[in-house]
Amino acid sequence: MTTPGVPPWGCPWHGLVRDNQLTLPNGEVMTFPMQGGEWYQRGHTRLIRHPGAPADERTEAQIEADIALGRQWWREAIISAGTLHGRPLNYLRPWFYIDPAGRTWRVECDISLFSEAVEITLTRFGVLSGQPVTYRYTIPRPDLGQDEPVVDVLGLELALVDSTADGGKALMGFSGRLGPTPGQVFPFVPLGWVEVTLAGPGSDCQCAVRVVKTRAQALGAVAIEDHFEPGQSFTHGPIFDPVYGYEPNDLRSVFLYRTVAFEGSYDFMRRSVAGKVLAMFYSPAGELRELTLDLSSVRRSQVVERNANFGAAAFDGVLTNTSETMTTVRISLDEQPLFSESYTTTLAATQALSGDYLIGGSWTRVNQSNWGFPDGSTSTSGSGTTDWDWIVEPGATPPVTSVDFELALQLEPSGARIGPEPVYVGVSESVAIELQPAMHSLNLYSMTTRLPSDEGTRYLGVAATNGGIVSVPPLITQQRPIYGSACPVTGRVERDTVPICFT
Amino acid sequence: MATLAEQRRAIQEANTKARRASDGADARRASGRDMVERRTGQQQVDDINAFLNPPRPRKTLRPVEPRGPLLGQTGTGTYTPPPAGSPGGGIASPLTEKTKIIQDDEGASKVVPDRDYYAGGFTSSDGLFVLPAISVQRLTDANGAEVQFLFANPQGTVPPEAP
Repeated sequence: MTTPGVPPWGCPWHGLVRDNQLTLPNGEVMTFPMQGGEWYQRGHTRLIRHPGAPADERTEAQIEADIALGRQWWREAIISAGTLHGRPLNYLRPWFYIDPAGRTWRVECDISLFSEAVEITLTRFGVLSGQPVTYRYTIPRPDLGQDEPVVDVLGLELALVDSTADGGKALMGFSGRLGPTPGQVFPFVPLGWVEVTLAGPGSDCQCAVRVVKTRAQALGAVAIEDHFEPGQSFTHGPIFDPVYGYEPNDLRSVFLYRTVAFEGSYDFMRRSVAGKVLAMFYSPAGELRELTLDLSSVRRSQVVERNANFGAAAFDGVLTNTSETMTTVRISLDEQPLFSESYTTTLAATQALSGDYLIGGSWTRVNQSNWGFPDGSTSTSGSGTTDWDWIVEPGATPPVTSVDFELALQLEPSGARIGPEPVYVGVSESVAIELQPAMHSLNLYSMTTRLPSDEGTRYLGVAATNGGIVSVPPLITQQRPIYGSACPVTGRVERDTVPICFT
Repeated sequence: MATLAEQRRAIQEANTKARRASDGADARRASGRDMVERRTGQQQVDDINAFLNPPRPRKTLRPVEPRGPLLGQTGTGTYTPPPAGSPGGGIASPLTEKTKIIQDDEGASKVVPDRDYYAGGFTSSDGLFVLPAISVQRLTDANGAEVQFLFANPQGTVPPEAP
C-alpha cells in the first residue's frame, strides 16, 4: 500500500558500480562505495523483494523529474557484495527474512562442523526508531554429509552463497581451499551445500537445516575404464606413465594422473566424471539451480613399444608412445547446456631410460614428444633430462609411484587440461589446450577455452546466473580472473577486468 | 506670501468686483494701486518667488497617546454553565508527555515515552525501511489531566501488531 501524500523515499540510486563510481541512467556519475574481499565476492548480488513494498503511484511530472535526476524508485533491493544501498552488512553472512506479517528480519546463521547446534539469530530490521528486538533460535545440527571422501585441502569453509528474495531459504556452501594460486578462474573446490529454511513470524520462527548436496554428491561420479588388447603381456616395472598430470601429489594440478607399468597397447582408456556440481544458487522463483560438469577423456589406440634392456641391477632402453585422445567437456545449468565441446589431440613420444635398481640409485629419462592439436597446431618438445631417485632393494621389483587417481580427478576444479604431461615433458603450458569453467562471482559463471593458437584465454559469450543462461560479450584476454556481476532486477550481466557490481 | 491658490482666488474676486463695479471710483483706486505696485515691483517679485520657491504644505505629526498604566475598568458578563457530562474545562498548557517503564531483552527496566505506534508507518520504496507512525501519544496537562493525541494510520506496508 502507498502512503497518500508521502512521496517515495529510500535509495533511488541503482546501476553498475565500477571503480567506486556509479553510473546513473541519466549518464551522471556519483561516488558509490564498493567492498573489498575475494574477487568472486565483489560482484555478488542477491535480490530482496518485499511483498508489501509500496506501489509506484507517482505522477507523470514526478516520473519525469526522477528520470531527469537519474533516480529509480525500485520496489526491490539488492545485496551488493555484502552491502545494502552502499552500506556494509558484515559481508556475505547475513540475509533478510520477510515474515508472513511483512516484518523484515536480519538473519545470521552460525553453523559449522565443530558444533552440534545451529544458532540462528533474527534481528528486526528497517524500523528507524529505537533498539531492534532480537530472537535467537538453536536447533540440532544434522549430519552435513562431509565425512566422505576424505580430501586434502588447506582450508574448509562453509559460507552463505545465496538466499531467496523473501529470505525464507538460504544456501550455504562448503568449499575447499587449494592454496594461493594467482590467476585462477575457479577459486576453490565445491564440496557440498546446506540449506537453511525459515517459516512463520520472526518472533516465533520455525528454523530448519537440510543437506542439499553431500561432499560425495558434489564431487560427482568418477568412472575409470581400461580395455587392453587381448594377448598383450604386461610387465610391472619401472615404466611410469602418468596419463595426465603435472605434479604428483598436488591435487591442484593432477588430473587423470595415474602410474601404470605396462608394455603393450590399450584399446582405449576412459576417464570420466559425471554430475560434478560446480555451483548452486536460487532461481528468481526460489528454486535451486545446479551448474554441473561432465567430463570424459578417452585415449584411443595407445601403443607403447619398449626396446629396453632390463638387467638384474640396471636397465636402459627406449620407449615409444603414440596415442590419440578425445576429451569432451559439457557444462550445464539444470541440464541445459552452457558449453559442450570435444577436442582431439595426438601424441607421438619417445623416452630414453637408463637407471639402476640399487639403493639410492637414480633413473634418468630423456624425453621427446610431438603433439598435434585440434586447431592444427603442433608442438615438439625439446629434449629434457629428469633425474628420479628411488630406494629399492637390489633385485626386488621397483616401486610404482601411485596417487589416488580417483580422488585427484574429483578434486580437480578446473575441468580439463589437455596436453603436457610430466613424462613426456616438453610441451609448455602455453601451447596446451585449456578448458576451464570460470567463476566471475558467486552467482555468475562462464567457460574459458584456450587453444595453442589463441593469444589469450577465451571467455565464452554465454554465462549462467540466477535468471538462467544469458548472452554476454565474449572476451579474449590474458587477464585472470575476470570480474562479473548480474543485476537481479534488470537481468543485465556485465564482465570486466576491474571489480564491478550492480547495486 | 500668498499661495498660488490664494492668488488665483484673489484675482478671480478682483475681476468679479471689476465687472460689477458701476462707477469709476473703484477702478481709479484699483488703477492707483496697480501703478504703485508696478513702481515698487512687489507683485513681480511675489510672482517670481511663487514659481521658484513654492511653499510646501507641512504635515502634522500623528498625535501620540500618552503612555502609562490603564486605569482599571469594570466589565460585566453572563455566565453560561457547561453542558452536563462534560469532562472538564479544557486543556491547560503546558502539555507534558507521559512515560512508561518497559523491560528490554536483557530484562532491564528503562523509561520510554508513553506512545503506541502503527506497525506500518511510512515505508520506503523497497519496503525494507519504516519510519514509525504514532497511533496514540499520551500527555498530561498543567492540571494533571491526561490528554491523548490519536493519529490517523498512514497505511504503511505492515498490518498492526497483534495484541
